[in-house]
Amino acid sequence: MWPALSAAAFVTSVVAHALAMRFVRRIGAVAGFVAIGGAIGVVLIGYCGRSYGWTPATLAAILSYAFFCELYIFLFTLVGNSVSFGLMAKLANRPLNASEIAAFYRTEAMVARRLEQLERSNFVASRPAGPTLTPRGVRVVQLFSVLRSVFRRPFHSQE
Amino acid sequence: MPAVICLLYLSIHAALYFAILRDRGGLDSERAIFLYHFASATILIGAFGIWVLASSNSDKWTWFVCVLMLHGIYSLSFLELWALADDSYSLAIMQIIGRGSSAAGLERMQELEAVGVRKRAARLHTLLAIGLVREGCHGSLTLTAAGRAAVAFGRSVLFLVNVFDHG
Repeated sequence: MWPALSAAAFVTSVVAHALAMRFVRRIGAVAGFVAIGGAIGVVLIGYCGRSYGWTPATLAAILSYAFFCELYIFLFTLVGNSVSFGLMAKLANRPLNASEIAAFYRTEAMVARRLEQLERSNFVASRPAGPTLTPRGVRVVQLFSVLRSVFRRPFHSQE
Repeated sequence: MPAVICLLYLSIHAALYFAILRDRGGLDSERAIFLYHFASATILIGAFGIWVLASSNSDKWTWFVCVLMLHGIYSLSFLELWALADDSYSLAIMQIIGRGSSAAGLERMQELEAVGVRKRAARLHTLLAIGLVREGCHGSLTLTAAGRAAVAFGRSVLFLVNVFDHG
C-alpha cells in the first residue's frame, strides 16, 4: 500500500504545481514546487505515521516521495536551462548544419538570454549604467562562492 | 538498522571525496564524478541485494527501497551541487555583474562568451557521442529516434511546469 500512497502524493504534487504555474501569478517553478511538494509531504508523513506507525513502510514512503520530488525538480530545471536540450529542440524542427546552429546560438545572444532569465528571477536588475545584482542575487553569488570552494571548482571562465 | 548502515556508508563516501579525492584531480570531470556515484550505488545495491536474498526479515524489500532512495537522494543532491559549482553559466554571469561594469568586467564578459562557444561545441560533441544526434547528408545534423524521444519527454516536462522558453 505504501508505494501507492507515495506515488499518489507525487502525482498530486505534480498536478497541483502544474495548476499553480498556470493560475498563480509570480510563482517561481522551483519555489512553487518546494512549497506544494513540502505541504503534501507533511500530509503524507502524517497519514503514513497514523496508518503504519513509525515503521520501515513509513520511511520508505517518505524517502521515495522525496526522491521523486527531487528528481522532478532536477528534470525541469535541467531541461529548462540546458544548452543541449535547446539544441535538440531546434533539431527536432528540421536538420541544421553547423553554421545554422552557430547562428541560433550566437554567444552574445546566449549571454543576453541568461541575463533576461536572471532578471525575471529577480537576481539581476537593469539600470541605466548596466545590470546590477539585487540583494537576492548577491546572496546567491556568495552562497555559490562557498560551494565552489567546497568542491574546489575553478571559476567558470578560467577553464 | 539497514538505514543506519546506509547512512554510515554514504558518510564514508562523502568523507572520502572531501578528505582525499577532491584535491587529487581524478574526479574533475562530469563523467568521473558520475562514475564515482554510479559505482557506489552499484556496490550498495549489490550488498543489500545479497542481504535481501539471504535474510528472513519480513520488511527486507521495504528496507531495500529505503536504502536505494537514500542513495538516490544523496547522489542527486551531490551531483546537482557539484554541477552548479562547476558549470553554471548564469552564476558566472552574476559573478561578473557583481564585480561592476569596469573594463576588467567587460573583458571577463568576453571570456565568458568564449566559454559559451566551447560549451556549445562540447554539448554537440556529447549529443553525437551518446547517439541522440547524428550527422545526415551534406554534413547537416539531425535527431536520432532516441533524440526525438528525449525531446518529446523534455517538452512534456516543460508543458507540466508551463515553461516554453528554454535552452
